[in-house]
Amino acid sequence: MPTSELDFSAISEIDRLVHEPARLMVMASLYVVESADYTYLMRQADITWGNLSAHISKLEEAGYIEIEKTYRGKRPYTLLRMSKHGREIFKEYVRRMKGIMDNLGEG
Amino acid sequence: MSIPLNLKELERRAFRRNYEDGLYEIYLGGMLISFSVFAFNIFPGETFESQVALTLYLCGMGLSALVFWLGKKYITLPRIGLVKFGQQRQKRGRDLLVALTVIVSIQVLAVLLQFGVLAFPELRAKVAPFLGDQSGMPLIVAIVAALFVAPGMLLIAYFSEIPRGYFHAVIISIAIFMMILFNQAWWMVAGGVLILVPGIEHLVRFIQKYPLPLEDESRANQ
Repeated sequence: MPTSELDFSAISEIDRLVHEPARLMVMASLYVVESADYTYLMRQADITWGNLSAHISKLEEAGYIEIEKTYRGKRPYTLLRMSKHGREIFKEYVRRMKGIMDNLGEG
Repeated sequence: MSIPLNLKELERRAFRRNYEDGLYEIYLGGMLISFSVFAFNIFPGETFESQVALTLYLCGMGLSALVFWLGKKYITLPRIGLVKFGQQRQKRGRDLLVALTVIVSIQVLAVLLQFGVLAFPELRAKVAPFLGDQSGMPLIVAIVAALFVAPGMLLIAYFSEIPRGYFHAVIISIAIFMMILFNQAWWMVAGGVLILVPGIEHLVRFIQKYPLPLEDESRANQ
């Protein structure tokens, strides 16, 4: 089949914001829980605080995650949770990736 | 350590990490050892004055709970962070609660029935022939007592998905069985130590594996 007839739309429609490995790990980590703090995500995604902070900012700007300011005792505490929109995006990402991988075959 | 990108496994590992600190074992082992102080007074040849035994027992229980609470607050939480688990995990917790309630209710009924039989001499006289030769009684009581404890502990292990929980269930059931069969509270102490010592080892490993975050990192949570 000539290259021009190949359908790349499925790949091009992959959400690049989620596809980046560290952000994918952050999204996956938040997807399976209700909420978590920075320390938990640093451990789970195995990335530095600086990197995590940058990724969190991008995901928050996109509306994929929400930052909740709360208190533990008298001390302020920040919890991160995936927004409803973020959950839909992540589900869609997983669905698309599965589809691509299934179609790709073994080669 | 690489973590497979499997959502169920990711959640399970995150949950199990809460138990990596060994504090649950320290708490459980401490409780068993504390209870054995109490048990020493149940068996012949009182080791302590009853008030001393009760005080030691309550202090031991209190100390175990305090170590658990302080450990979680000052050792575990700053190292692995805080996480609220999702609905599926909460449902497992609720299922465990229901299952434990059913088991404990059956056990309470069995105990009440036993006391009921003992309270009425006529009833006791009627039941006695069915018990037959009383020489095997300690063995039966030991088996029943072990069977009282085992299901609850196994359920906790199953619903919590903590493999070490099965080991705790076996150790505690054997300790109770041996304690009753041989009339010696030392079996309970041994069971407590067998759970407590690995707990301390897990705690040391946990502290080495998860160092405290740097100052900037810990401020990120605020």
